[in-house]
Amino acid sequence: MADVPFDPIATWQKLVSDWEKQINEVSARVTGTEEYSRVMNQTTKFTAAARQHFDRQMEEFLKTVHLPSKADMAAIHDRLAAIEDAIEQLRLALDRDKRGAAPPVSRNRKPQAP
Amino acid sequence: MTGGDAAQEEINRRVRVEIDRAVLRNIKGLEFLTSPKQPVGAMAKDTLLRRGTLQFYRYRPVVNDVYRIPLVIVSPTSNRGYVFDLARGQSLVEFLLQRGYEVFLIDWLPPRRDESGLGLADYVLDFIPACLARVREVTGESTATVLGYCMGGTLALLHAGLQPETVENLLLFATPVDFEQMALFRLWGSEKYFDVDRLVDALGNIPGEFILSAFDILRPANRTAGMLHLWTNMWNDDYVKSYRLFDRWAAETLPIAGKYFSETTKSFMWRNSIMKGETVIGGHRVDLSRITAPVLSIVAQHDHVVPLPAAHPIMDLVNSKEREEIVVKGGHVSVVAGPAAVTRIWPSIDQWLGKKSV
Repeated sequence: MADVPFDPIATWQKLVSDWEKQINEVSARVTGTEEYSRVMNQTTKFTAAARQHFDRQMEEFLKTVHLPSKADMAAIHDRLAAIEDAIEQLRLALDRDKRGAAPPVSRNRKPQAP
Repeated sequence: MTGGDAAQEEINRRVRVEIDRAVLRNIKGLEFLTSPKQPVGAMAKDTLLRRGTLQFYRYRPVVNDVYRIPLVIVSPTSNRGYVFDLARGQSLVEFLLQRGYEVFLIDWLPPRRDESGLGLADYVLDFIPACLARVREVTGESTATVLGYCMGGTLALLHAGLQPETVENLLLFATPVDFEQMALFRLWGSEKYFDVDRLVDALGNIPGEFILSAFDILRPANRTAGMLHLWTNMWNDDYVKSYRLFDRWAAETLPIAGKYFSETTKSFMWRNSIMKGETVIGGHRVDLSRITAPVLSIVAQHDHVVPLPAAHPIMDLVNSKEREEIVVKGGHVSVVAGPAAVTRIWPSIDQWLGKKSV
């Protein structure tokens, strides 16, 4: 049998790959249970509810101190994005008129023999 | 030279190589930590349509004579379309342009807050048809090859089921149809525990981090192992560049429009409606057996996001005389980019599609 020289880097890479596989397998066993799904969704539900509650409180506070809230800023962002969209559509329409609809290349290509 | 001397010389050579690499790792590691985002996008393109989350591009042909049938790529709704055009030599778009196809791309931007009401009907019956109409205007051709990846493939398939007359060929990459086979996602999104309406009500659009964390829970060790492999290969510029391209793409996972998320969860995850032929979009029942265009489905053997059995039934759902499934080694992303795609998958696509594009 031919001697295979010791390659520490290849050994290290194999170690990492094996570790990755093992962790993923263990995780799939843990997360692939009804119990995990129940707890994860419960946590998500609480987090979403807490976030909604906090957002409402913060909104009230900012309103009281006459400052714009995140929702106000997001509304302005959406408005700006919509204006940007409208300008872009005008630009595209102008480009279209300039270029016309004619295809710029011929469309007769045939597959080449392998 | 004796056998012993040769062995000693080989050991010395290896030690020198490893010392060089160790030095390079440190120098390039510092560069890596301080460098800006890896630029993406190799090929020149023009925007044809932009409407909120929808961006539609036409890539500039690089040959004078193109195939008659244009090719439209539909990106997955949770990811940016630049995965099809990462960099020179790693770009499906570049490959297709060089092989003489006229390429268009439906890409998605993060949906705005006021777009949380976009649903399946908007994607399947408005966005995709609007883009195909632009293709007709630009090329004069009434049909196109539609190529979809992941959920982009599912949208392309549903569109083809509703408007089969617009689709000349259908190319599907890692496209899920049997959601019962996506065991973990199905369990986590189970109707019993997952209050999707409450989540959408609280968040509006579903943040990209939420989607990304679901992928991370699916394979929790991947990120750390990826970093360790990166460190080992830090001396190799090509490896580092490729890592950064994919890392950027994954990190830029897009938020998903709330209504679309709710509809896909209920219809696909809970009811597995595509398999049962019960998907209804905008009041129309989707009948995939109306699809008679040639279909090529490419699936990855070790895809942990869309496992092979989740994509395999496509072959039975469509009514095409010509339908083919190619199973390749690798994972979810390797079907569109990476060494296996470049050397094996893309040439197979060209071979299959060329004669159907005249």
